[in-house]
Amino acid sequence: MADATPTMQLADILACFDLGGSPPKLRESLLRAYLAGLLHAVKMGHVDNAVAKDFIESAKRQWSALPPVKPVHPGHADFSGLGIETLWGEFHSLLHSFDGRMYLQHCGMLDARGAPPEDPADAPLVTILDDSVFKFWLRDDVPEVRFDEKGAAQDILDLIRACKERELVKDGAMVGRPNSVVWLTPKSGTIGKLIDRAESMAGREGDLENMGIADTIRNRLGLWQKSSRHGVAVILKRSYSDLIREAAAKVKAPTIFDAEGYERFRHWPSPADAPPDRLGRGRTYELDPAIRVRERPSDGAPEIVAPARPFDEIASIVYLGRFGTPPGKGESVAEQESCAEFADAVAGANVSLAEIVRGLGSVLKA
Amino acid sequence: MDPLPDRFKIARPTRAERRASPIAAMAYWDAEGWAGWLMDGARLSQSTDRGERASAFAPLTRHPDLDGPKELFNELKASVPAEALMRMEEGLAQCIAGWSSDDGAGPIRFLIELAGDVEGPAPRAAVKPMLLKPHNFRTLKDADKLADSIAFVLCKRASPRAIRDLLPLLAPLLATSPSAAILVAAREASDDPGIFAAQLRQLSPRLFDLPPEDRLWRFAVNKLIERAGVEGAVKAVDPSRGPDVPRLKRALEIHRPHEARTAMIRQWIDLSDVRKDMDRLDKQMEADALGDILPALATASFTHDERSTDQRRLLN
Repeated sequence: MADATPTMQLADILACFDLGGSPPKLRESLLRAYLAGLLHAVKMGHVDNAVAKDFIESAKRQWSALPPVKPVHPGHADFSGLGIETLWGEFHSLLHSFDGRMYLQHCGMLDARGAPPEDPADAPLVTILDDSVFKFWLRDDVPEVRFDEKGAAQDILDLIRACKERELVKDGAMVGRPNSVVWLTPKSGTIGKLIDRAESMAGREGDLENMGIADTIRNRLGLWQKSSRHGVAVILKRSYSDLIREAAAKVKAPTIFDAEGYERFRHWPSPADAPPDRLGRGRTYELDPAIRVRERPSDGAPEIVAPARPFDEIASIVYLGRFGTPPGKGESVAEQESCAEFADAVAGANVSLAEIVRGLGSVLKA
Repeated sequence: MDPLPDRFKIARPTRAERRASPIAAMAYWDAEGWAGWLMDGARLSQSTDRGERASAFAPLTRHPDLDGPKELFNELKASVPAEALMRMEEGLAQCIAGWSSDDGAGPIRFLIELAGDVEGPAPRAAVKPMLLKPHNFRTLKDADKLADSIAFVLCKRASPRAIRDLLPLLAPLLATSPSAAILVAAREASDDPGIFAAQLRQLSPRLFDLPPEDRLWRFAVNKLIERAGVEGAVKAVDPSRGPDVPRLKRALEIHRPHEARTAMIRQWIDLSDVRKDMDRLDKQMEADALGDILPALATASFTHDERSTDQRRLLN
């Protein structure tokens, strides 16, 4: 429900922007990418105006309540005492605290017709996870589950085997977390080939590492947070064409609400003039700059989101090897640069954060 | 009182600096400031409320369900300078050393696991003063999980010798969790694999009540091979190493048959004394006790075991 008496105008937050740094601050780039994703979604009719307005009004309420922010006159507030990082922090926690209420808001239609042969709509769906997932699936009496960091590949192979023993699986185990979504991509093309290759290596960690299979898949799917843990591909018995026929599955293309502040989520198509996916899906952001430049703007892979799927829908789990550090991550300046490139890719290189804020303010009259 | 080392002398942020970035202002916190922030964050990270979990460790942002100590450390490393991280380590050491069982096991587990990621040794060394205080681990809720956290961090970062020094203090806690005891015994086995079975008996006698098919025994042989390699496993199942070895050897045969065959062959053919061992092999053949040796020899490699997950090269 939209606030009838807004405490401020959205444009008031411009007072705390200290733009022009080179490279821009990390959180400035993230706020830019997320607000641009919301603006694109509203303009393309992917998110209902009322939902977007409700979200922005909530953000405004949360921002207005921060201690350095002072009301100046009705409908305005002074943000000059606030850092942009705090804005992002509050925005991020708002995305989380909405829980399931705001998820799966994409209004776009999904369609299985017209899929190209290299990307068939009936390919099984897969989600790429790291070894931390086993603690949500398996009981504590599987000893490997008890340790946050796993040891060698053998631990993961044993955990994968344990998933096949029903008595070791927790009641209510799902693919995806409760009140959240599972991110799915078709097991086809490069992703499919790499998963098959990993499967044929049967857990030989050194060989998988030499081939960089986990990293190549991680990069293609924009999984920026996945590093140093072991990776697994969870392949479902369901395909895209079969899930979209089932209304109860509530499959959608993702929006910023599903992404919960994830550092490399982009609303698709973005920028707005990029070619939309033929089947109405979203698209991941390729982390490897060399591949990204070569394949721009259609780098990455198709993706959709759905509420958590039943554990019984898992067809197989494939060990992919250990993730290394994603390109651009780790060193502070390199990370800022990489994040700025990402924000450029989402917002459009010449569209500033201030323009996006004004654009949203005007579209939503916030 | 000795003057503080230079790294503890902190310039105060200007108002403009604080305003520009609350994260940059973290660089100016002293060790006590870090200790308070870490303790509050660790408590919030255990909350049942998702919003509270999401706000733990603000102004840093983290995922309320997925991000653990490792992710927090990565975020800290990307956000604050190295000198500030050193003060953070000092604060972390204060939190760990100051823990009492009344505080519960949840938040301190998070901080102990964080201690496994930081560079400096002080937070890990703080486990000793923490354990020196009187605790009743039998009544502490989640004592077994606390044991897992401590064992995990020590095995990841402490030397076998340091662990041996700590064992008298650690033993009551390890008695609450066989998996923690296995981890510690395996870490010690990286120095002397021959003591593995006896050490398991000492740290977790309950393990020997379980059949060798049990998954805890599988975990034990996996950790042995991970830490000591196939060579170490061969030494650990040498019959001369005491009465507890047969159970371990049986577990190795069940859960890691390929490595068990290698161990079997290497016991028969010890090339350090060919004449003696060929004689022993002849006697085994005469007694028709060689069982699987021919198929085993056909697949055995004496230089590199493709199918083992021997991690020594990674650990070194």
